[in-house]
Amino acid sequence: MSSIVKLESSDEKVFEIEKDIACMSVTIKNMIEDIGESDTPIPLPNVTSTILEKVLDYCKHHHQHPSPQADDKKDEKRLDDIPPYDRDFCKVDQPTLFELILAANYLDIKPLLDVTCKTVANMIRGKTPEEIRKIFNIKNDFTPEEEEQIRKENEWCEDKGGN
Amino acid sequence: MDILYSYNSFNKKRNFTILEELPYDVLLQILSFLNPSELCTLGLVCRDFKQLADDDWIWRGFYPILKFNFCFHFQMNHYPRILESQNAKRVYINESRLTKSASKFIGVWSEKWCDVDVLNSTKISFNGEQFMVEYTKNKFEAEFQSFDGNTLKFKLTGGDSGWSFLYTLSCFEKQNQQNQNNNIITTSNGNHNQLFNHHQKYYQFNQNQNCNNNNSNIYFNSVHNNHYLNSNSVDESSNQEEVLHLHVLRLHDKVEFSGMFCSSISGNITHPHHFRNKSDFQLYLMRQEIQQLRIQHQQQQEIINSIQRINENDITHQNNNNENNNSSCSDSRKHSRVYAY
Repeated sequence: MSSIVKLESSDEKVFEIEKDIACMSVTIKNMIEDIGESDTPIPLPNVTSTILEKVLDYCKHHHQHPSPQADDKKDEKRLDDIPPYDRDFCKVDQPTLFELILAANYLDIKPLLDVTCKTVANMIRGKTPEEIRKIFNIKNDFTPEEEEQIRKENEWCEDKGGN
Repeated sequence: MDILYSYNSFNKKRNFTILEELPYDVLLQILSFLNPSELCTLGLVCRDFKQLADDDWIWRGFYPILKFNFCFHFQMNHYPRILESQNAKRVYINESRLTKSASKFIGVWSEKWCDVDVLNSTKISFNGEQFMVEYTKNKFEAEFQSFDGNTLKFKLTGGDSGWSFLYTLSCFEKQNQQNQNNNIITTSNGNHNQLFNHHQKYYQFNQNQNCNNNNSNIYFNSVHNNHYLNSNSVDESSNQEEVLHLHVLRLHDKVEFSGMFCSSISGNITHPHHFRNKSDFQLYLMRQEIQQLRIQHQQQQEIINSIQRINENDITHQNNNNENNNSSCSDSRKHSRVYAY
C-alpha cells in the first residue's frame, strides 16, 4: 500500500491520490523527490480542478490496466491504435481537449499527451484546408497569390500520390 | 503565489483557437503524427499553420524513411550523403524527388527499336552521386552523359560497325495529366489487355519504322499514351512490365529512331514502393523483422533437428556398442539402418 499524496488545483481544490498513481506524472514525481513526502498539498497552478480530476481518472485507469506494450510503442507514430478507453476519454469539446493537452504537457504524462495529440492529429487527417479551418475556427489569412504559390509548392506530394 | 493562482482566472472564457491555446512545441508534437502530404495540406490553412508545417524538426523526422527508401531502391548499405538539418522540408522534397525519378531508370533493360531487339542489354545503376550504365552486348561501351530528372542520356560507342549512338531514355510524366488520369481509371482493370494492345501497336509501329525511318516521331505519338498508362499502372500491380521511352540518335548520320526499354519480363526487376508515412514504413520494417525471425526460427529448428539426429546417432552408436562388439563395418551398416527409420 503506497502512501497518499495531496494535489492542489489552481482553484484550490485538494485531491488525495496514491503516490504510485500520482507519480505517473513525471513532474509530480520529481517534485516529490525534491521536497520529500509531506502533508502539505502540492500546488499545480496550471491545472484546474475539472481537468485535474479527468487527468487523475486517466491515471487511475491506466494504473489499474497497464498496457503491456506501452514502452515499445513510444516512438511509433500511428494514429489508429488508440485503445477504446482513451478514445472515449478524448471525446470532449475542443477547449477541454486543449486543456488536457496542456495539463499532460505540464504534468509530463507521456501516454496522455500522446493520446490527446493523436486525437487532434486525427481531426486534421484527411481533411481539406477549408475543413480544417472550420474545425478549428481559423481564418484564412493568405492572399490568393500566396495560396497559389503554396499549392504549386505542394504539387510534388500530389504527384507522389499515384505511388 | 497569488499571482500564480490568478494565472488561470482570465482563462475562464476560452475562445482561443488551437494555435493560441497550445504552445509551439505541443503543436509540433501533434503535427509529428501526420505524414508529408497531410502536412502540405495543413500548410494551406493559414500562415501560422504553414510555419508549423514547414518546421525542420518535423521534416527531419522523415529522414529515416528517406534514407531507407534510397537504400532500398538503389540497393545500398548506407546513405551516401549527410542530410542537412536546416531547410529539412526542402531537403526531403529534393531527395525524395531524386529517389523517385532516378529509381525509374534503375534496372536491367531490354531494348527495342527498329530491327534492334536485344534482351537484357543495358544495366543502369545509381550510387547516389551518379548513374552507371553498362552495355553488355555486341562489344559496345556505354558512357553516361546526363540526367535531368525526366530523361537520362548515355552514349554507345564501339561495336562491330564502329557507329556511335546517343540514347535518350525518358518516362512519361505530367503530360495531359488529367486526361491521362481518366484513362488510368478506365483501364486499371484490364492492365494485361492494355499491355498486349500496346505491344501490338508497338510492332505495327516497328514495321512502319522500317519503311520510313525519318518519320518516326509522328508514329510514336500514337503509342505514347499507352506507354504512359503502363508506366503508371505498374505501381498497382507489381508484376507489370516497366517501360521507358527510348530515343536513339545515330551520331555519324544524325538519323533518329524511337523505341523502348523494357525491364525483364521475369519480374525480377520491379519497382519497390515508396514509403510516404511513418506507419507504412514501420509496418514494412515489422514485416521484415517477422520474416527474419521466421528464417532464424527455421534455422534454429534445423539446428535442433540436426542435434537431435546426432544425439540419436550417438545413442544408436552406444547401443550398438553395448549390444555386441561387432566389426566396425557391420556397425555402420546397422547404424544407417536405424537412421533410415
